[in-house]
Amino acid sequence: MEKWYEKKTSDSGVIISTRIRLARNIKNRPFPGRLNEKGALSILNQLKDAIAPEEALIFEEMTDKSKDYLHEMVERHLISPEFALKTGMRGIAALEDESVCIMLNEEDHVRIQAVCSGDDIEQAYVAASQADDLIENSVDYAFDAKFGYLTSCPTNAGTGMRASFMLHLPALAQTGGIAQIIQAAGKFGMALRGMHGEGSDPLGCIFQLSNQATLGKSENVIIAATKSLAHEITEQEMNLKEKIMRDASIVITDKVYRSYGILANCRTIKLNEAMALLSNVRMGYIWNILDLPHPKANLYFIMMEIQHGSIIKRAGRHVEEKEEDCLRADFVREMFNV
Amino acid sequence: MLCENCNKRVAEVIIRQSVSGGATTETFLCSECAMQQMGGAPIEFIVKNFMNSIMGAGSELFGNTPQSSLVIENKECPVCGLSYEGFKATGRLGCANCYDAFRIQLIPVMKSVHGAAEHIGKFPKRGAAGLSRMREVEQLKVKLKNLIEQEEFEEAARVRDKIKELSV
Ligand SMILES: [Zn+2]
Ligand SMILES: [Zn+2]
Repeated sequence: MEKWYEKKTSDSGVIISTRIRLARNIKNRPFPGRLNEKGALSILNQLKDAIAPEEALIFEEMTDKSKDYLHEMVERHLISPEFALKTGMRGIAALEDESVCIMLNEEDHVRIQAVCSGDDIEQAYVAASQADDLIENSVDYAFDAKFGYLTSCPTNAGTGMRASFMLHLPALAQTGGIAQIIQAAGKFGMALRGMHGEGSDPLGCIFQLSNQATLGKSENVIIAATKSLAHEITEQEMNLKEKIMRDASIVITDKVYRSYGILANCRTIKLNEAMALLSNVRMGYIWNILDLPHPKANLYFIMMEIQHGSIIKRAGRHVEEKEEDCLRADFVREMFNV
Repeated sequence: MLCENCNKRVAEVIIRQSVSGGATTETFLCSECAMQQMGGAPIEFIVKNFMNSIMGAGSELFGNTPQSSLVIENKECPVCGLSYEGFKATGRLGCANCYDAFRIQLIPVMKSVHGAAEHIGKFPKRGAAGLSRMREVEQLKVKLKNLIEQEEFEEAARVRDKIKELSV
C-alpha cells in the first residue's frame, strides 16, 4: 500500500505535509510517567480494546523493539523521539499507509497523530478527531471544564492539539531570511524549527511550523491561525525565489543541475550532502528550472529513506559509516536512474 | 491594590502558598477570583478560610493591602503524591488530579504558556451528557458567585460541591 509520503502531491510545493496531534489521558489513572509496569500494561490493554473496533488500525507492541527499529520509525515521523527512548509497556496503532498513528503510553496515555500530504490540515484534523471519537466510545478521558483535556505536561492541556505544517524553504534557509521568520512566528505563538538535524541550518531546508498554545482557543481557530501563517511563509519564500531568480538565475540553475548530476552518479555520499542536493533538486522542480526526468519516488520520500535507520533496516544488519555512505549512494543512484 | 488575576476588582484576599524551604509566596486576589481559583481545594477549607477572611482575621497585619488571607496548605497531590516542587523539576504532572491539587499555582503557568487559562473547543461527549453538563456547570458558577456576594456560605458550599461533582 502506498504510504502517505509516497504520494506525488508531497513534491508539488512548499508545503510538504500537514499534521495534527491530539494528546489524551484516561480518567482516574496516573499519567504514564507515574505508572508501574502493571498499570501501564492495563492501560495498554484497555486502549487496545478501545481501538479494536476499527480493524484498519493495526496494533503493534513497542515494548521490546530494538533501538534500530525504533530509530527508523522516528525518522519516518511515525513515532516521537521521546517514545523511542522511553522504556516500559507501550505500543502503537497505525493505519497501513501510516497517515494515522496512535502512540499508546507515550508521555500521555494517548497521542493521536494524523498526517496528510500537501496542504490539507483540515483533513488531518478530521482523521485525528475520528480516532479520538473511536477511543472515546469506550474510554473516559481526563477532562476539566477549565483546563480542558488534561495532559502530563500543562503546555499541552486544553485542546491537547498541535497543528503542524512541514515546509520546504530553500530560498529562506539559504539567504538567512529564515531567522526573521522564526522570530516572527514566535510573536504569533507559533514555533518554526528544523525537522532534520540541529541548529539554524537544518538538513534539506525542511522546517516544521506548529502552534505553541493549546489552551484557550478552539481547534478551528488554532488550525486557521497556523494555516494562515504557513501560507504567509510560503508567500515570502516564493517572493524571495523571484528575487533570487532575477539576480542569479544562472547560478541557481547550475546548482540544481549539478545536484541532479551528483545524485545520479555518486558512489559514496554523506547524509548532509545528500540532503542538501535533494533539497536543491526539489527546489528545481518547484521553481520550474529543472527539465530532467523526476526520480522514481518523490524527493521527500528519498530524504527519509537515506537516513541512518532506514539504511540499516534495508541492509538488515548493522553497518559501519563508510559502508552506510556507499549504501546511501547506491539507493540514491537507483532512484535517479530513470 | 488591584486583583492580580483580573486586574479589575480590588484585591481582598491574599493567597499564601508554601514553597520549599519554608518560604511562602503571596498572590493578591479579589474574592471572586479567589473563589474561582480555589475550585480544586476542599470546600470546608475554602469556606472556613473565607469566613476568617471576611471576619477580618489578619487585617491588622496588612494595613491598606488586602485584608484577609488564605493559606494553601496542600503541598502534594493527594492521589499520586507528586509535590509542586516535583512538578517544577520535571515539568510533568503525575495525574489528572494534580490539576486540582495545584490549580492555583497552575493558573499563572497556563496564562504565561497559553495566554489563557480557560478551555474552549472540543470536549468529551461520553454519556451524551457532556454538553448539558458543561452548561449546568456554567450556570452553577454564576449562582455560586451570587451566593458568595450575598454571603450565603452554606448554600455556596453546596453549589460548590455540585460543581465539583459535575466537573470531574
Ligand atoms: Zn480578580
Ligand atoms: Zn497527581
